[in-house]
Amino acid sequence: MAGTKETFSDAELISCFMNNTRTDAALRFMYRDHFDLLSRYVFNNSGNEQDAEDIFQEVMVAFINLVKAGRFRGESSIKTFLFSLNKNIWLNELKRRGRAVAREEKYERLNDHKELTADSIMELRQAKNDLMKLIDELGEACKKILLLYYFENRSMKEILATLPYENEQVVRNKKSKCLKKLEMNVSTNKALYRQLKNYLHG
Amino acid sequence: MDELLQNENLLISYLDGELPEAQKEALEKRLQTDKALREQLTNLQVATQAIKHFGTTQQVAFVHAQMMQELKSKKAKVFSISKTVRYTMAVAASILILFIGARVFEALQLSPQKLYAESFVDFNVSGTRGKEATISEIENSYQKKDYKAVIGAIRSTHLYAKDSLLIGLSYLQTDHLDKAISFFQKLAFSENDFQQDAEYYLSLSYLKDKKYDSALQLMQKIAANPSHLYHAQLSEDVLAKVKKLAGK
Repeated sequence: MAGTKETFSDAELISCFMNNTRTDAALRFMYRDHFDLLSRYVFNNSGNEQDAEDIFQEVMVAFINLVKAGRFRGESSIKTFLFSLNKNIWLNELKRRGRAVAREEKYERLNDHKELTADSIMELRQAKNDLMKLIDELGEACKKILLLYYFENRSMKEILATLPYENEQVVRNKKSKCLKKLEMNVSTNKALYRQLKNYLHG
Repeated sequence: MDELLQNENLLISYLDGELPEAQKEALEKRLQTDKALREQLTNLQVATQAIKHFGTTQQVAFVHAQMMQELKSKKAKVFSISKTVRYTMAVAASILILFIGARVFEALQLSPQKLYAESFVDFNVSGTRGKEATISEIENSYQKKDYKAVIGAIRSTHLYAKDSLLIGLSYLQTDHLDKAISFFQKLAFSENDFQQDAEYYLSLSYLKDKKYDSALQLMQKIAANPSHLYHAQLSEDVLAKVKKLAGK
């Protein structure tokens, strides 16, 4: 039960998320290493247990996406970076809830830059439900093909082995059709489109 | 319409890295001049980003559920020890304290270095870049941990508040505590964007320099202000330890 728990250096964590290897283990390590500290910040600043958990999930999603997009390459330690993300996302959440503290004005000034700010991450958080809905609308088959290909980096051959299609070309055509459908759906949701685009160009 | 569809298929193959070299080069050339085609490519990239984001969100949610069980069961174990065991442990601890109290206390005394290392959270240069779009030389040197180069920038005719903070931090990192304190004091006692950062690092400089009373006073001020940027860093536990060091 108490099996060995893998440990990772900062460089190893970045490499895992960049190359999509051992990502579950890397995530578990990050929970063990950072959840207490980050949730304490939320607790100490008007948050409750559920807030701390929600914000930590947002931090993890944002961090992984930034690493995958090549936007975080270890310029500061992961601990420092996560602390900063957690703080900014939580302050934005407070602001969103209309319980902004006096500190906020200063925070706004500090973060007035072109980078992917917590603001945009938070908007993305709000758009999370839209995204879920939009992907669900694609249907199970499309969702599966796109996830296998673009998220899990599986080859057409591997995908063919898990889905009931005649040959690779059929899978390829289906994948293109699904991606076009998704592209159309995302383009109609301006806020979501803008936020996703933010992750792209570093 | 046909052309649009054709372009789209071409762009998907390009995105998937499946275009032969010659076709890839030709497309990249077109992309440089064809704005509509570039927009089409961006739209497809955003769509792939959407699916990646969705995948990450699902993965995190899955691991989150697992980890909350693990982390909460750890806490629960601590609290589920029976009352009898707890009383027994309390008695044992009291006996232990009675017998070796003073000596153990002395032996276990805190070191300021240890407490400093536990409490120090490095300043995130890239996360709080201010209004400048580009990273300054001082920030760049600090990110590379080239503290000498940062300190060398003192000769600059004009230093922004952030520069002064990074110079103070470089002095702190290299154990030139008097100088670190002097830089942080200037920032902490004036109106600027990094005042709260300076207060926090000033308190840590005092701690490292064994000026416990000053450290404690400042830390208590930060801890008493829930909206202070570094409020969460100074837990009751940290304050209690500094109090001990200050002999209070």
